[in-house]
Amino acid sequence: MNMNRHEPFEELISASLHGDLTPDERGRLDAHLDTCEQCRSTLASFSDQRRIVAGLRHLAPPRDLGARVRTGIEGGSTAGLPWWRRPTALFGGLGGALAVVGGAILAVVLLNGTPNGPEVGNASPSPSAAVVPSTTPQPTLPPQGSPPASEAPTAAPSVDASPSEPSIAASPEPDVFLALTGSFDNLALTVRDGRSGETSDELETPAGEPIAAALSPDGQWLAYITVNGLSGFNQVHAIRLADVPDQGPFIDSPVAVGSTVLLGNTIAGGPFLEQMSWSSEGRYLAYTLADPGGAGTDAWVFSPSDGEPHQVTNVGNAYAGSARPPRQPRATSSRFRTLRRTSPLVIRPTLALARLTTSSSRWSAPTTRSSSIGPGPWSSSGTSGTSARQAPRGLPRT
Amino acid sequence: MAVPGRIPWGVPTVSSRAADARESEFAQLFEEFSAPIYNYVLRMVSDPDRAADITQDTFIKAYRKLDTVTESTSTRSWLYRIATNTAIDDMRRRRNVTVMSDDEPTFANRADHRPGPEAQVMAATLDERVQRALMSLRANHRQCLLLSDLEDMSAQQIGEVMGLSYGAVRTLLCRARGEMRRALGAEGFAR
Repeated sequence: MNMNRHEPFEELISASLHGDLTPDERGRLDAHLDTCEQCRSTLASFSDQRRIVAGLRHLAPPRDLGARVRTGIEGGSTAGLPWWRRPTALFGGLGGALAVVGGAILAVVLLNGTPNGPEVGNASPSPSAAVVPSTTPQPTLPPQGSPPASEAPTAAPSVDASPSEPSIAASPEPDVFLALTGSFDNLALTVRDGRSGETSDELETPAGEPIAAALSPDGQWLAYITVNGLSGFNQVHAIRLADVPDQGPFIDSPVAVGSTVLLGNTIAGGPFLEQMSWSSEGRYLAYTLADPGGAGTDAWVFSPSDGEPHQVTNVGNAYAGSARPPRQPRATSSRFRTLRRTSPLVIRPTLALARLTTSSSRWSAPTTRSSSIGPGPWSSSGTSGTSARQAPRGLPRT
Repeated sequence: MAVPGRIPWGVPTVSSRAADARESEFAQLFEEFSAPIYNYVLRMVSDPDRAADITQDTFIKAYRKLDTVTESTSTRSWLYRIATNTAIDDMRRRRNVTVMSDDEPTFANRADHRPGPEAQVMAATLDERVQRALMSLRANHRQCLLLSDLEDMSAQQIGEVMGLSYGAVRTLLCRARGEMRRALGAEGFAR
């Protein structure tokens, strides 16, 4: 009974803490508080409580939150795509396939005790097979009238597959596969048509398995990363698959069809080092190299138009997050813009969204630390130059 | 040899001031609200990893719905509403897969994942005790209380976030304070 009498005033007390009382309510509450010890106690308790909750420790969000959001936004545009065209399918499918072929190779070696045993293709009908989707999906969306998965071959022919041409197990069909086949001392890396499984290009024999790949939206280029044996390094490559784009504008290149460009060596590391992103029309590929010499990570771009890799940052802590379509230039005298953190411990959220802005293009480069851009013709704004290295990284074209 | 040199940037083929403005607006939104939203969600779910995931999802959703924000819409309320709904969805999903009872967690039935007594004494900071008290509240009470006391929102703003009327917020907030008062008492806070 007592509670019933005080309840209305408790609500007024609660509301009074953030000034949500009308003058009339304020008057009623003040009059009641003058005579009610219990409600005065409630007021004191609620006030303390508000102060305690308001004083809760304020924690900094994870450093990579901005990069994660950006990745989610970029990746979110693939939401309408079938799974085999999504980047995650590539890595997942490739990883699983590599595990299968790796296990098969190991089994063959262990069981036969000789490297001249039967080829992996004979031992397993599922050698390495990788889906290679575009990271910029809109140009590669299948037409509405494209055949449903049930009409498409869900696996390449395996009955008549020769030992040197093992079948590719994949369903439903991707655009192309990267197929690693053969015994461990006779590996072959091929690009195969997603529907037929037929080999369209033979790549240079890698020192190790491929771990990531990205097909350009126009279908002209395939970028891929291979493990460089047991060196602890990976190699980034790009091969020109066609001289005519599937769609979009024609981007000429001095690189002949079937030729591979080595885009650089990188320390094998986390997922950011295995992420490659094509811009929407396939004009640029953004990727990250971790300097084998220990100078850190920097963002690079490969431009099919000149067939060369270009180092974008030289700060040792930048990552290429994604490639975005060119936008209107910003009114800034600097060609690149980035931010730097203001204290050793606190990362400003915007830092993770730091973008490198050019007069015509923008590349997002989530960074985990302070970044400044240089050297060469680029300048940074709002930053001081740090850790510029003398020698650029990268490798000659092969 | 790959030499850092002039990158052959092409002529822009997609020029959109609207898109540029959108990016700028979103970047500003993220800069201003990512930390508050993260902390709000963190206090809601009491798990840094989940809080980060929910915050991430919140901003991804916000980006996609950015066009729906009008001048009359309070951006802050709108963003907190997305965060609140995302957190509720997350809590529902987790509740669906948990073996525990259908009751809201209370001190009596909540699994105690805390370390041993000695470590608890050492680690039981004021902050942790308050957080434990918060986690013992019903979800809507916790939201309401956090929005009011942590985020310093008015009843009107809380109503916008939670989709409740002004009166309903005042009633809910009063009950939340009563519940929190008891929870804090159980954590050793006087009064």
